[in-house]
Amino acid sequence: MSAALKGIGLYAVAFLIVAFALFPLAWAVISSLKTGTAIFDTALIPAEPSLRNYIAIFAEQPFGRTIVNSLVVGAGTVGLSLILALGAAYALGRVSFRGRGLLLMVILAVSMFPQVAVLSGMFELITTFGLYDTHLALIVSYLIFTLPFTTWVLTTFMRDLPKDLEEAALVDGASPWIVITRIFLPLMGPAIASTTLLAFLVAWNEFLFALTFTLTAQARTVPVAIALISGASQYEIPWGPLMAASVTVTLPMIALVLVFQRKIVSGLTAGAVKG
Amino acid sequence: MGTVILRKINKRFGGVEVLCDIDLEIADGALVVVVGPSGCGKSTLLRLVAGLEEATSGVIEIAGRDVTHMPPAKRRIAMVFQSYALYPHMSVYDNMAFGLKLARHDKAQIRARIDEAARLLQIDHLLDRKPRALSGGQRQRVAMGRALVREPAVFLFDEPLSNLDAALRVGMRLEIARLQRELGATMLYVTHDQTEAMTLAQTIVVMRDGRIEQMGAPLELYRRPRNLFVAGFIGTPAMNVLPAEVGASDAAGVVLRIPGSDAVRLPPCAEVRPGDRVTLGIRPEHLRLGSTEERSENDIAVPGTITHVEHLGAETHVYLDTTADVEGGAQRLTISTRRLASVEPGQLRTALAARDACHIFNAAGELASHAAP
Repeated sequence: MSAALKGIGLYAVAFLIVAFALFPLAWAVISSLKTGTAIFDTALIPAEPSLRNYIAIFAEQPFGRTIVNSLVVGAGTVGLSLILALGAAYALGRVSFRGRGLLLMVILAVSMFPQVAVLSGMFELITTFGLYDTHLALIVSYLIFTLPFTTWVLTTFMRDLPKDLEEAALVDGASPWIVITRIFLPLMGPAIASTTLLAFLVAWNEFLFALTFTLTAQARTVPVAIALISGASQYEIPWGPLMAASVTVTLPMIALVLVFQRKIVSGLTAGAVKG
Repeated sequence: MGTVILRKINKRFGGVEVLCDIDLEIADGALVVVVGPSGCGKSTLLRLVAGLEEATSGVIEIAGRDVTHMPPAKRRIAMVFQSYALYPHMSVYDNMAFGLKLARHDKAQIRARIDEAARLLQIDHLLDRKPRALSGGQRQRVAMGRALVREPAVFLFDEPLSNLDAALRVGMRLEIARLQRELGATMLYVTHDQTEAMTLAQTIVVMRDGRIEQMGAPLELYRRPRNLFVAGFIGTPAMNVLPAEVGASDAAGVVLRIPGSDAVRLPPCAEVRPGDRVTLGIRPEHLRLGSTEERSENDIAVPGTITHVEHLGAETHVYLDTTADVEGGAQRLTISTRRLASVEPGQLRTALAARDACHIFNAAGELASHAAP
C-alpha cells in the first residue's frame, strides 16, 4: 500500500518537473501554429492550425541564410576547438612538464571571465583584424568559452588512456600526431561526442557576441535573427513568427541531444569513476 | 640478427639512481632473462633498450649500431608489453600491420609477413577479430605476432606472461622458447618470476637495487650463487640459511658452530677465518628428516618442531622451526622431500644435511664455499 503510494508520489513529482520544464516549449509550438488574433487565445489546441508563420520566416526574412550562418559558425567553432584541444590535451595529459597543473588552472580561469568584461576588448581586436561581420569573428570569439572545457574534458579522458598503448605505437614508429589521430582519437568517441555537442550548443545559443560582432544577414546567427524579427510597426510584436523561429532552431538541437545522449553521459562521467 | 651491448649505463629519475653502471652483452640469438624483485630496475633497463627512456649516461648498441639517442622505431627492436597493449579499435590484422604501414612497406609484403607470423603463432583464423573478442592467451599471441612482423634485431619482453593463468603461462613459456629456437632470435626478457627465468633463459641476469648481482646459466646460478641474495632469489622453495660461527679453519677443514647443533667440520675453505660469523646455505632438497641418532659423522643435524606440511603430490614440503634460538627466535627451515614420510605438525624431528651440500657465505653475504655439484 505504502509502496504504491510512494510510486504514485514519485511519478507525480516527476510529472510536475517535466511539465514545468517542457511547458514553455509546448507553448511555443502551440503559438507558432496560430495566426492573427488567435495568438491571444489561451486554447491549448489551436482552432485553425496553420504553417503560415513558418512560411513567413523563410519568405519574409532571410531565416534560411541565418540558419546556414549558425551551422557554419557552430561547425567552425567545434572543429577548431577540437583540433586545438586535442593537441593541448595530449601535452597536458600525456607529457609531464613543469607547471602543468598551473596551466590547467589558468585555462579554467579563462572561462570564468564574464562575457561583458571581454566584449569591448574583443570588439577592438575583431575590427583591427578586419573580421567584423564575418563568420570567423564569431568562431574566434566563441573559442573563449569552448576551448577551456573541451581541453579539460579531453585532458582527463586522455590521461586515463593506458600508457602502454602510446608506447606500443611509439615502438611501431608513430609520431605524437599519429598517436593522437590514429590511436587515441578512435578510443575517445564518447569524449569527442560530448564535447562536440556542448561546444556546438554554446555556439548555437550565443547572443551577446553575435549581436555585437555582426551587422548584416551575411553573418548574423539564429539567436540575433530571432531577436530582430520585427512586425509591421514598432508597436507590434510578431509573436507568431517569433515562436515559429524558436521552434525551428530548437528541434534540431533536441534531436541531436537525443541521438548522442548515451555518449554524452559516458563522456561527462569519464575520469570521474574508474572503469 | 642482433647483438645488444650496454656499456656503463646509468639512469637517474630526479635524484633517485635507478640503474647504476650496468654492463651487459647479449650475443646474437641468445635468450637473456633479467630477473629481480620489483623496483630493482629491470623494467627500466628494458625500456632503455627499447628507447622509451633515455639513459642518463652510457652507451647502447644494437646490431652493431650506436642507438643511444635514437627513437624506438629506428632501433630495430620489437616489444611485447605486459598488458599486451593491443590497439582496441583495430582488428588483429591491422594491429600487426600498423607498424609496417607506418614504415611504408607495400601491401603485398605486409600481407605476406602477417600471414607467415599468424601461421607460426596459430592465430591465422583470428585476423579479422577485434582484441576484445580474444581470450588472454590469444591476445598474448597477437602481441607476439605484432612484434614478429617487424623482423627486429632483438625482441624485448616485459613480463609478458604475468597476466595469464598458471596453465596458460606454462604453455606460452614453451611457445616462446620454441619460437626463439626456430627463429634464432635475440631476446631480452624481463620477469619477476624466477621459475620463468630458470626454465626459459640461456643466461639469467639477477638484479637488485639497480645493479647486476650475478649473471650466468640457470644451473650455474643455482649451484654457485655469488651471494645470499641470489641464493635466496633463485630456486623454490628458497634456500635455507643458518647463521654460524667459524671455530677453526685450516687445511683439515672448517669447523662451524651452529646454534642448537653439534659443531660440524666442512671441507676446507681459505676464505673464512676462526671467529668469523658466516651463513650456512642449504637447498631444501638437500635436507632430510631424521633423528639425531641417524646422524652420520658427515652430517649437519638441526633439531626442531614441524609446523606445516604441504603435500604437492610428487614432493612434500615440510616446514620446521629450529628448537634453538637463532638470533632471538626460532629459524624456519624448509625441507623438500620425495618420500611421503609420516610427518605431522607438532612432531619433534631433526633436519639432516650432508656436509658437502652446504654453501658458506661470509659476513658480507658473499659466497665463500659452494656445495659439491
